[in-house]
Amino acid sequence: MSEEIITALRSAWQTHLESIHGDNPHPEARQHVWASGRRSCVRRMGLDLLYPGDDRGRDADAMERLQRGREREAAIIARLYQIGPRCTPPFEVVETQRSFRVVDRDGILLITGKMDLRLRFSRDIKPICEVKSGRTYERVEELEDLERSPWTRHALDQLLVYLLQAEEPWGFFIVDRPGMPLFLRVNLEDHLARAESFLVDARAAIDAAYGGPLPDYTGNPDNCKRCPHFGKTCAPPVGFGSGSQIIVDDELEALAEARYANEAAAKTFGHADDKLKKALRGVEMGILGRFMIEGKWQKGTKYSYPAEVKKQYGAEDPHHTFKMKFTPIPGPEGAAETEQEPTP
Amino acid sequence: MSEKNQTAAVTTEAPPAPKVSVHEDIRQVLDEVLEEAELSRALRREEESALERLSTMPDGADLFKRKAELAERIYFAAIARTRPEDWVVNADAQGHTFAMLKASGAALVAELYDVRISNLRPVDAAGVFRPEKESLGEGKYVLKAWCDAYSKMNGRRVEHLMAARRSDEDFIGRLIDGKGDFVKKRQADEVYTANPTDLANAVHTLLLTKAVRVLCAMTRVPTSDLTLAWEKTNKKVENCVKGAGFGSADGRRAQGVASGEVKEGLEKLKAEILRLAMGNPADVAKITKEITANPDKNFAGMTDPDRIVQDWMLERAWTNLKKHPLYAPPKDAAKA
Repeated sequence: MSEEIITALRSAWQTHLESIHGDNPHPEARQHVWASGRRSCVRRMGLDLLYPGDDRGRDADAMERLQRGREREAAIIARLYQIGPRCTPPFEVVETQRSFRVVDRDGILLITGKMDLRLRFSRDIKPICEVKSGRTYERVEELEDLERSPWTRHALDQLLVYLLQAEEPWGFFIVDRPGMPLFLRVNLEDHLARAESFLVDARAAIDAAYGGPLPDYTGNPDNCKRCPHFGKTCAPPVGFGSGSQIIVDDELEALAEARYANEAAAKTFGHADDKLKKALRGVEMGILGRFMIEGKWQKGTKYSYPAEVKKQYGAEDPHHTFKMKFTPIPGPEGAAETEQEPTP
Repeated sequence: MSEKNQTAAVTTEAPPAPKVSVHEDIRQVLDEVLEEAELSRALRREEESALERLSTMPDGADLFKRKAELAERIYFAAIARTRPEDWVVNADAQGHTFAMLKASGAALVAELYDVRISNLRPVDAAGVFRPEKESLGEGKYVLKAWCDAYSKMNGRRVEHLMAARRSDEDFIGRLIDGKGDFVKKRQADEVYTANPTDLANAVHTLLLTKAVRVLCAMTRVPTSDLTLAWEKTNKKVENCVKGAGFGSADGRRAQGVASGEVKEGLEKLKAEILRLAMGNPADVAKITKEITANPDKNFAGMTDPDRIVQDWMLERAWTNLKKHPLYAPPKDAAKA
C-alpha cells in the first residue's frame, strides 16, 4: 500500500506541474519577441517566432525548476513588502508583473514583457528589479559572471530592455542563492549599445516572421548544440571541431614512445615515492631494509593571504593548465607495440 | 491572328541551322569551363587535405607509405574512441559480421576526421529547412533531404548525399494522433503517425550520420577491426547492438532467459524447421507459428523460434512438428 501511495503522490505532483507548465499542444506563431527571448543566434530568434512547436517536450524536472523559480520570486517579493517600511530610506513595492511593449518607429510591435517589480523610494527614484534564481545563478558574484553560462547570458538583455523602455537610468537584479540574496546594480548608460543591439536583432527576427528571409546562420556552432530548431527547421553547415593535427616530428615521436614505454614504471615510482615520503617525513637518519635514509629540513617561505585579499588578485584564465593524455593507437601495428615491456 | 497566336506560330517553326551550332559551341565551351572548374576544385581540395600535404614533401615513396600507415592509424584511432553501443552489428548469409556506425558515435569519429557538412537541403525561400515530402498513400509519407560533405583529414568528398525517413518507421520520435496531439498511451485501434518535426529531425540526424559513415568508411566495418581497436579495454563486440542476421529483438530478449539445455534443443528444432521450410524464411515463420499455437488456450502461436525459452514449449513444438503435414523424418533417420 505504501508503494502505491508514493506512486500516486509522484503522479499527482507531475500532473500538477503539467497543468501549470505543460506544453501547449498547438503553440501559435508570434510576430513579436518576448523580453526573455533574446538569443545569441538571431536566426533562432526568428525561428522561435515562426516555429514555436520545435521547442516542445519539456520534462518534469525542467517544469519543476520553472515552478521553483516562480515560487522563489514570489517569496522574495513578499519579503520586500515586509522590508520596505523598515529600510532607510523606506520604499514601496510597486508595478509588480507590469506588462510593457516596445514599438518600433514604424509602429511594428518589437518586444513584449512583464517586469518583476519596481521599488519606489521617492517620486523620482523607483528602480526596476528583476528577480533571478536557480542553480545557474548560485555562482554569480558580478555582472560579468552572467556571461559565463548560456542559461544566464541574456538576463542582462532582459533588464536592459526594461530600463530602455521605461527610460530608467538604472535598475538591479535580485539574485537568489544560498544565504543572503545578491543585489547587482545595472546602469543603462554602460550597456546602451547592447540594449540597442537587442532591438535591432528583434527587428530582424520580426521581419522574418512577417515573411522576410531568416537572418543568417550563427557563426558559433556552440549555439546550435542546445537549439530546439537544429535539424528541424534549421540546417546550418555542420563541423565537428578542428580535427586532429598530424604532427610529423621524429624526435617528439621517439619521446612519446619512451614516455609510453616507461609510463608504468613511472607510476610505480611515483606511488612508492609519495607513500615513503609521507610515512617517513621528519626522519633525519634511519635504516630501512637495505636502504639508508637521510632527511633534512629545508627553509621555505609560506604566504598566508586572507581569502579576501587572495581573491582580489585571482582571475579566471581559460588557458591556465593544459592536460594531456597519450594513448597508443590500437590496430595491427599498435597491438604489437602494446606488447612491449616497460624499460627499467 | 492575335499576338499570342503569332508567337506560337513563330516558336513552332524549326530553328535555323547555324543557330543550333552556335548553341552547341557555347554548350561545349561551358562544359569545358565547368569541367576545368571542377578539376581545379578537386585539386584544391586534395591540396588542402592533411594527407596530401604530406605526400608533396620530399621522399615521396616513403611518405606515400607513411600516408597509408597514417590513414590506418586514424581509422583505428577513430574506432577506439567509440563505444559498443555506437555500432550495429549485422550478419550476412555466410555468417560474416560487419558493424555500422550509429548516430551516437558519428560525432566521435567526425571530430577526428574533421568532417564538414554543408549545403543541407532543401530549404524554402525564407531559408527554413524543409525535407521533401513524398506520399506513400494511406496517410504515410517519406521525408528526404540532401547534403554535401568533406573530410579535411583524408580529403574525401561526397555530394548529393541523400537521407530518407518514413512516417511509419519505429523509433523516430514522438507520435501524434489525428488531431496533432502527442500520444501519451497507444490505443490498439487508433492510427498514429510520426510528429513531423521529430521526423524532420530524424532525417537531419541520419544525413549527418550517413555523411560521416561514407567519408570515414564506417558503413561496413569488419567486427575484427572493432576487436582490434578495443583490445585491452572493456569494450566488446558482443555488447554492440544486434541488427540484421541476428533474429528479432523479441527473440534475442527471450534467449537471454533461456537455459543452456533449452538453447541446445532449440538449435536442433530450428534446423529441422529450416529443413522443412527448405530455407524459405516466410515458411519458417509460418511453420513456427503453427507448431507453437495452442488453440485450447486461444494462443495463435509465435513466428520467431527464438522465443521458445521453456522446456515445455520446446517439447510441445517438437510434438506438433512431428504431426505437421509437411513433416517427414530426415533421410538418415528413415534408413536407421
